Formats: sequence, C-alpha cells, structure tokens
Amino acid sequence: MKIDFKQTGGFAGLTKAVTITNSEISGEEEDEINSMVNESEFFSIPEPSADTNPDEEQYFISIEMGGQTRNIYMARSKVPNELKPLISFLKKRAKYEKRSK
Amino acid sequence: MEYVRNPIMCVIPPYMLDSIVEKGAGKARAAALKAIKQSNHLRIQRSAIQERPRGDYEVLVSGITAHTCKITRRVYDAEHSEDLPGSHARGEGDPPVKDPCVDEAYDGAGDTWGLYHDVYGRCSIDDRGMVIDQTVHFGEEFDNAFWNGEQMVYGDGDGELFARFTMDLDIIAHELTHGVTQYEAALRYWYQSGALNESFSDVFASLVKQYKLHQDVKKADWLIGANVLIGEEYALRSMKAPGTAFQGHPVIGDDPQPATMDDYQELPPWQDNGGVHINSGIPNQAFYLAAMEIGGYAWEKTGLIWYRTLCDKLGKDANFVRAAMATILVAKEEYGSGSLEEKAVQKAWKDVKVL
Repeated sequence: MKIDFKQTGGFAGLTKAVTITNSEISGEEEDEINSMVNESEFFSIPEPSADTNPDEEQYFISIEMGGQTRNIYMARSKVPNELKPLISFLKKRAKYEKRSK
Repeated sequence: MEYVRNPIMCVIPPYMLDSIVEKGAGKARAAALKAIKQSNHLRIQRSAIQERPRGDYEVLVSGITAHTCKITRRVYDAEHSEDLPGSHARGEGDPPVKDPCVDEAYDGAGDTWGLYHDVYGRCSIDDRGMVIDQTVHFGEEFDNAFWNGEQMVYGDGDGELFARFTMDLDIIAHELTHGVTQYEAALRYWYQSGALNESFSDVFASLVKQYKLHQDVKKADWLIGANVLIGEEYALRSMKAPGTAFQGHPVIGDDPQPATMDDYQELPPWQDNGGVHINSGIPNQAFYLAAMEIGGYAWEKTGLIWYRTLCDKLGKDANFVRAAMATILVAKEEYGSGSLEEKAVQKAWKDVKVL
C-alpha cells in the first residue's frame, strides 16, 4: 500500500505533502487507512471537479492498494463527502515542502 | 459612508462623450466637456449601466446618466467552522467590534473599494454596487484566504508559519480583485490565464496599499503578504524582485517565483492549477518595471493601463503575450503612439522576455 498526498494552491502557493507506505506505519494505522479508503470507494467514485475558486487549495491523491492504482485531484470545496475523512487524515500528516533554488 | 462620483465620467464611454461635445448643447455639453477633462487619466471604457441594478445604485439623472455609488460591507464570523457565511459580526457604518480580524476585513474592504471607486470610477466588485461580504475565523488554524465566487474568506493562520490573513491590507485587496476579475476578463484559473488572474490581484493589491500609504513607485515596497508570513524578513511575494520574498526560510525554503520567461515553470494541472501562484511572478515583474519607468504614483497611469486591460481587452483564455499586447495597446490609446508610457510598457514585457 502506498498513498501520495499533495495540497497545492492557496494564497501563498505553497505545497504540503505526505507519502504513506505500509512499511512505515503500524498495523493499527494500516487498518484505519484501509478502512477509510474502502469506505470512500476511492477506486470507483466519480472523478471530482478540479475547478478551484481563486486561491482555493487543491488536493492530489494517488493510492496503490490491493493491485489497484488511482490518481485523482480536486478542489477543496469539491471534496465528496465519502472522501472527507481520508483527506482530513492526510492533511493532518502533511508537511510544508521546503523549496530550494 | 457615501461617495458620489462624476456621473458622466463613470458610465459614458469616451466616444459618446466626444459625440455629446460635438452634437450636444447646454448642460449636457458642459458636463461632457468637464468629464473629458477630468478623465484625461481615467478614461474608462465601461459599458453603459447594465440591466439589473444591485445595492444602492441609481441611474438616469437629467437626461444623461448618473448614479450614486454607496459602499455596503458585511463581515461574518465563521467561529472556526467551514460554514459560510457564518454569523453577522459587523455591518456598514457599525463601530469597530474589537475583533482585529473583523475590523481589518471591514477597513481593508473599504480601502480597496476606495481605490477602485475614487481612481477608476468603479462601483464595487461588479461595478453595479455589489455588497461586499467577507467571513473571518474560517476553519481551524486555516492557513489561507480565498474568493469563493461570491465573497472573501479568511483563516486565522496556524500561529507558527502564518498569522491571521486579514493582517495584510494587500491580501484583502487581492481577494476582492479576484471578484473584479470574475466580472471583467473572467480569466480562467489555470496555466497562463490563471497566472494573469493572480497577477492582476497582486497588482491591485499593491496599488491599494500604495494608495492608502500615499507612496510613489520609489517608496512602495512592492511586497505581498509582508505580515502574514511570520518573521520580519519574510513576505509571500515580491513584485520588485520575484523569487526573493523569502529566502532560506526554515520551513518553506526559498521563494520559487520566476521574474522572466527564462525561468517559467511548466507544471501539471494538479499542481496549483499549472503554477498560477508561481508564474504570476512574470507579469508582476512586468507591471513593476513599467511602473518604475513611468514613475509617479503607480495607480495613476500604470494602474489605469492595467485596469482598462482587465476590463476591456482580455478574454478568459488570455495568455502572457495577449496581456502584453493588450497593455501596450491601452497605453497607446491613453497616452498616444510613441509616448513614454507606451514605450515603458513595451520595454517591461520585453525585459521579462514575454515579447
């Protein structure tokens, strides 16, 4: 299992990101994530709208799990209800990316 | 607060004024002549008043067109929820409420409305007297401010990286300008049209601050978000020197904005809509260079050129080259072929390597 999450956009134009693999988390956390992914029906939900309002955040999620892979991105205001628990979980773990020239 | 502006200057396009002067008589002709004189630097080709007035907006006085434009602000408190608009916190004419977020949003919207009204003859966000709605205390430690298509929304920041987003007048002006853009060029919020959308918001954000502080081009700091990003040496963007607003920041590192097309960043659509907050550094720099060359108060000539371009010359899919050509055309229309202003705008876009 691997999850890549990025939050981009916003007034500041900064990126927050986190990558989660099953080798880095406890079995309990893996169960929690599996449950959220399954309950959200991540691999079958319709593509959410990516049209963002000015300065609104944008979310990108890529999940590899059980032989399936899917990438989706959406505007903060367009997150489907089913995905909100997973997005909330990932946002709490995401950190600002440090850019260097 | 009530503002009354020259009615003719605000709503009748220049060719109609010329026609009134040529063919009209009496008061109408005198008023048109006065308007032409006053609008020498403020010739705004706004179309006639549209069909559905909103807010305090009156039309048709003494045979020409007139209206009184009044500001109406409403500030709401989301109380850390994400429900909009939230509970009413302060209305137009109400005294300060001692909540800095509420009072800064109220005052900042007034300052922004003031520049648009007093300098460009615009009546609020939609040029039809739209009520300015804003919500503060949105979400939990919310590190953002945005325009949702109907109103402005501000978070309190996390208190570590970001302070409250109402702290900078330019953030309030930036968000309100997204509303203006929505009612004018309606620039699509992705790739170059999105970066232009961002840049117009930064341009008028900086101009609102300069107008408020009465700063000429040399005195202005040309920074966006100088207070919201915690740390005295940091800001979020620099129009004067894109890519230098923050350097060596312990959390976010270096400002990634390019100043010229040499460093334009090709990004995928899922990354900041193709980099709208990154590549906006290029048109921001073009505005700064043009303003420095033209000199004086940037809101007067350079600001007018950009305002008229936004209102009259760009479509929703405009790119940097289209914006460059449009601003040069407006400079030529306003100040004449071969004028210092036309040359300055052209040179600015060449210097950032868009042309």
